[in-house]
Amino acid sequence: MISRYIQNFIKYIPLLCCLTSRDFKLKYRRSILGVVWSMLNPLLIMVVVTSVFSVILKVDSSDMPFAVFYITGSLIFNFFAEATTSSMTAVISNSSLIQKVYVPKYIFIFEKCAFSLLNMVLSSIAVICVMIFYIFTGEVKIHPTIFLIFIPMIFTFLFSVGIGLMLSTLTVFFRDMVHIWGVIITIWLYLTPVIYPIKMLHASNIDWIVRLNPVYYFVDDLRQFMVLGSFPGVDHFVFEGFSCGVVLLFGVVIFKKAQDRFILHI
Amino acid sequence: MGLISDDIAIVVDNVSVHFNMSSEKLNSFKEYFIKLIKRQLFFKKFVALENINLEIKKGDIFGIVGLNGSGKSTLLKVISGILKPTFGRVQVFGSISPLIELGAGFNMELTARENIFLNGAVLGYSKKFINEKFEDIVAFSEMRNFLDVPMKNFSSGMVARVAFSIATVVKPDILIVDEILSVGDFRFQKKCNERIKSMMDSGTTVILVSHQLSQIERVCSSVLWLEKGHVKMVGETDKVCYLYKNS
Repeated sequence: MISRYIQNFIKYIPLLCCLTSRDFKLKYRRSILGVVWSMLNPLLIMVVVTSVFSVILKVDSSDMPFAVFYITGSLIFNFFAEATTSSMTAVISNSSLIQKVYVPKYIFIFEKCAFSLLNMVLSSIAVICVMIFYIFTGEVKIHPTIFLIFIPMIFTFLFSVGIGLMLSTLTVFFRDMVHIWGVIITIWLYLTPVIYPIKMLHASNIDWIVRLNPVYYFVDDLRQFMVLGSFPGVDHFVFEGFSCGVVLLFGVVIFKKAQDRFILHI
Repeated sequence: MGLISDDIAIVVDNVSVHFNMSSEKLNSFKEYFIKLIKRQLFFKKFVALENINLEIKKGDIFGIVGLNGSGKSTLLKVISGILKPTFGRVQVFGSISPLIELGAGFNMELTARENIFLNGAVLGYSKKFINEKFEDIVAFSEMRNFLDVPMKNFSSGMVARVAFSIATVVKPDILIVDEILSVGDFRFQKKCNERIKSMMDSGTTVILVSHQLSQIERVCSSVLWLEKGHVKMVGETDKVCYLYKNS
């Protein structure tokens, strides 16, 4: 039973690659700088956010420069936001295909998440540039744990696939999700310490919400591995593994249950 | 399930397809809840196919006739696995290449070359395989000069040429043809017909849906007549076509 699913998945891996390269080509078609934007964009946003939050609002990111603090956090969070937002419409935007040919439908969600992963890997070049700058100014040191940054990235990927499966299913039946998710993702951004350190929350009573937010742990892992050179506790990994597992399981179950009815609603 | 002999290509076993036809599609929470509260969430059941039983032998050229809305396309969708039947099941023995609609997987922003690879992948072919067959596809479509032009600049006939060339590059065990023999100019149509004919001659099972009865009479070995989702008749071509014409 399971081997049949794997066989089917392997058969459609070329499709996955083709769809990803399609998205990649379409994203940068007719732009002069092309793929450079994947690196330039996070840098420019970082400059803006750093000016506002560090210079004007004086947010204190104590153990690392604010620019580094923000760009590492936003790397993971933007990946999550982009992957979920694009997988949400993955099924409905490929309706012409789904109505005409048999293709396993989860491929489309998987592809959107893979494409966002690729974008994040490109954007991490920007993060490394910022790191190098601060290594020269002596505010940041390089640590061997930097080679472990793939761990939070993979966790984020799995978590996004799970959420993506749920969202795309809901969106087929209720197009409202497209509008609601924009609001939810903004709330989620502010409940994740991306532009402020979690220390700032100790005084307030929403501390516990943030600590239940899996994305916080992904962001925190990345910062520890990449900038601080420390190792997050085992409880981090247990919680991350657990939340990814639960979300993926729910996503797969919901998607599998509803996918045969997609064709009647798209 | 009894034993199925080796020479059967497709078994359609008691298949029914029902659609919920709500008066309009409810696509938003607001509409859904308003209707829910007003208790207007009634669905009219629409029977697209009812208790279809069918066996198609290997190598058969099987025609399907029926008026518009009689369920022909729905049946093809069920056979090719796009639509799950509400009841019953379909067994298909062998690879199936649906021609339900040519060029369904094309992205008009991409060039013809890119689309050939994309569409090949949609049909489940490996990259290596498409590389091998690329020459064939291009030669058959006669679109070599336009390979690197975005397909949005193509005319519909040119799109159809590329699409047909990809869809028929392999010899599938089962070929589904849904009114597509009228693509392109008369010369290309002739080429298409020849290619399909050569597939038929080499033992491919073909399911052909057409409103051109003369075509069905010419090529099909047996014919199914659908009426309002029911099997009205299935059997020898001459007999079914004669009665269908005079109904």
